[in-house]
Amino acid sequence: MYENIASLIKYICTKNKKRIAIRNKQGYRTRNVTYAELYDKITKTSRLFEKLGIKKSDKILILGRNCVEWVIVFLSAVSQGIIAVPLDTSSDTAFIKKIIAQTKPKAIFASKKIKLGIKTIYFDKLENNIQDLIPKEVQKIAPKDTAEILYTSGTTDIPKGVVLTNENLLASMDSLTRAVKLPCLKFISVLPLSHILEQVAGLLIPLYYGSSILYPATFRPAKLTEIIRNKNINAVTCVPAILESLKQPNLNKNLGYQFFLIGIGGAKLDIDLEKYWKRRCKLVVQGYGLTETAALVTTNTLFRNKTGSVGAKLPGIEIKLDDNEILVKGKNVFKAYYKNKEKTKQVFTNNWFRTGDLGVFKGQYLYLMGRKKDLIVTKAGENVYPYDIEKVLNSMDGIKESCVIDENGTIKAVIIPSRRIEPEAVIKKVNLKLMPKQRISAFEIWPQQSFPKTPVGKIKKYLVKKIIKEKKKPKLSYGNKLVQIVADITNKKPRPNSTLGYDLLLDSLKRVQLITKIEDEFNIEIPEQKISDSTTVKALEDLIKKQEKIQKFRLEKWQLNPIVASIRRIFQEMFFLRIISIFCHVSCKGIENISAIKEPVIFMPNHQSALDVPCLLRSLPFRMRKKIACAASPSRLYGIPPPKKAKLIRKLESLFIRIFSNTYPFGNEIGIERSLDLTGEVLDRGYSLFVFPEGRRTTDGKIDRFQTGAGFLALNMNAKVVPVKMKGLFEILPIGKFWPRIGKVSITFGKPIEIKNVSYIEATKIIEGKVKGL
Amino acid sequence: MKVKVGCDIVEIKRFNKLDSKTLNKIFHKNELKNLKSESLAGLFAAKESCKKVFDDLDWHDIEIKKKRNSKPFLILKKDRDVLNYDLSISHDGEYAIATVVFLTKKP
Repeated sequence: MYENIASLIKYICTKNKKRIAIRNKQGYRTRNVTYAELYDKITKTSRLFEKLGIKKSDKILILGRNCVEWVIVFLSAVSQGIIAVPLDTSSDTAFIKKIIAQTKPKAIFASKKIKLGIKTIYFDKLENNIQDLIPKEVQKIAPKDTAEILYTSGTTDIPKGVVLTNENLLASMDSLTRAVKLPCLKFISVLPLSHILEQVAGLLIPLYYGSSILYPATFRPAKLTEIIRNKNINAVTCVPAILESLKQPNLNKNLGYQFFLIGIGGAKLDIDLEKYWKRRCKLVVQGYGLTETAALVTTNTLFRNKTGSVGAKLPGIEIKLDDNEILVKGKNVFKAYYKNKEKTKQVFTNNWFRTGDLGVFKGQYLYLMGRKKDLIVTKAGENVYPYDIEKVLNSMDGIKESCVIDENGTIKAVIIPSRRIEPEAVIKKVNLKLMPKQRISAFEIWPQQSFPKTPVGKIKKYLVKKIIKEKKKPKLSYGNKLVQIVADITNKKPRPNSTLGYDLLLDSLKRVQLITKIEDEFNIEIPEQKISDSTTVKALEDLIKKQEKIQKFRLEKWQLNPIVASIRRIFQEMFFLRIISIFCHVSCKGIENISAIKEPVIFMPNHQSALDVPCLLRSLPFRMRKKIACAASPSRLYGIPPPKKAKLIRKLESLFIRIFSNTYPFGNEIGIERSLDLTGEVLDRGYSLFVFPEGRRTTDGKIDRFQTGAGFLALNMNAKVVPVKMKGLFEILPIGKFWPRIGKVSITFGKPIEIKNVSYIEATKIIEGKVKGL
Repeated sequence: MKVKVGCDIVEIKRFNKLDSKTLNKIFHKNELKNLKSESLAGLFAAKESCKKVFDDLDWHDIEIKKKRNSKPFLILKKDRDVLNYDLSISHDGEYAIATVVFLTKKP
């Protein structure tokens, strides 16, 4: 065990120097930070703190979404004895102001713009700020020194600050690493870093084992699924709500078989959900803990795993039950709430921390029963656990989500139906399944599509109660997602054959809202011209399905597989390029411009004939041509949109080209967003690209107008662009001819250019000018 | 030569509670500098009237700027053979209205 977190971080970073610690997704590209770089940045940030006049036991506020800068600032603060106060990004200004008044921080580190009258450093400026600073070594910190103050998400109450010391965090890590031993894995982070579970099980533990952590830019289920598959993610620490959202048909195919480990905490995991994931060969490891106990108290392990239980107690922690309430004692338990002695007194009895959760031990495994505060004492004086009722309610067909609240001693169920149902009949059915004391006496239909929730996905019951009391007019609810969206926007009852413009009176402003909503919900792009006043709801549904099919195109991983790549290389070197050299006598200029390039770049040549790619490959040095991918039009090679007649010869041709020129689809047919995503992914894997900005082969030998996609790529991909000009190929094999003639080809490479801070139309013009000027 | 005219009217209060995604879908970055509902409604009406004239235009193909004397003018990002045009926006109370007239080459 280490004395403080600072020495632990130093040890980890010096041990795994060259390994990748953090992968940060920014826009379409991913930035890798190794352990050595991470440590360098941490020590430099420590110097920044000194420059800003922040000394030991001062406080700083960290307010931002998950990213590498968050980790740097947090670890740097902890290693200098500065007290970090992480807050969730979604917290409102009034709440933040309250906390500022309480903690009086010296500075704020934030990811988005805020104005609070305190010196604020934004995450995107941090890199520039620390660039020229001299590293400052970690300081000596006593184990009892405070590391951070965490404001709990508090499902039931106003948030309160939990003071955690170095010792608390280390003790928690120590007992967890003794129980669960992991190899070096690839983690993805989906919970906010201001949550203790993410800090311990999502940040410190993976770093301890030398693993890499990926911070995605969005948490949309469709995007997450894709990232997990494309980035070969193995493990995740999350809450049940996220697991629920990741449920989908063809789960293993979509997520990839390499994804196997799911750590669960934060809220109670439904037993059916657990079984669902376990049946699909994922290791679901459920644990239990609170912010006050610095993450986990009990956990299942990889091999001793009981479904439905939160596991056995961790070594070094003591647990006992007092009237079913769980009491915890150990080095990991916090000492006091920040500036709140009364609350502190309430939760401690004889040095035992009262968690307020109810549970039972069966053997050595702990089973949770619910929160003590949520416990409903009925008029008859009997104890009812809302969780038991919610479980039955949620298992009913036609109920999407439910929540059971106490209304003056009667049990009230608040439900969100997933389609049109008769609530009375469903409640009757539910009551038959329940014990007499648990029976629901009143129910309410929740007006929205989901309950108000905390960042980790627990339902805010006190808010539900409040809103139910005020009683708002419930909206109609439909099972079909699209019909629901249309109904929400038009406030009318849509039928499949009702037209948007004439029956539902959708005007142009509402149409934009509808399209935005659909794009948001279904994660696709819809061209506005395709929707007119006479479009019916049914036609809209068909359109969405068609777009979904086209735009859900996934990266073909097999093409980048090392075996296929080596076959491609051998084929190219032995046959392809040799045959080409019979016809084309290539002379190339400006090769010195590109010989120094190490990172992937985008080559943008003019498109003259079908032999462009092999000629370009021939002119490149071997080091570069072994890692090349080409952007290709989706319609010809990938059959998007599907052709009317699928010919076998066309299919074989496309397969041949896909294997031997390593193409990926790029174009309007699969949507701009998707094209850029794929491009980013290919670049991330270290492949340079050939992109022909004209979009098609020239018909007269002259250079056509460049498509604006070129400018988009140059601006968004964070990679240099190499303009290339080709001459002579049009005479060898013009469009429409089958047999090539023999001739001379000259290829000129320009200097790599970096384009920034212009519009994409201007960027396209710049590139066009450069290519034409060569 | 042909004269084409488009007009549109829109209720101002509908722009009070639009989310940023929808706004970004309709308006250009420069147009979102002034977030007053009257201004947004006026711009929207102007854009919609342009879309009525050339129905294949996208929201972002039309950008509306203002001269010093606050007279609005158009920038069309797609070439539609326009010889000359004029645009006028007005609002009063609950509604904003815009009219646009184009003179185009082809009949």
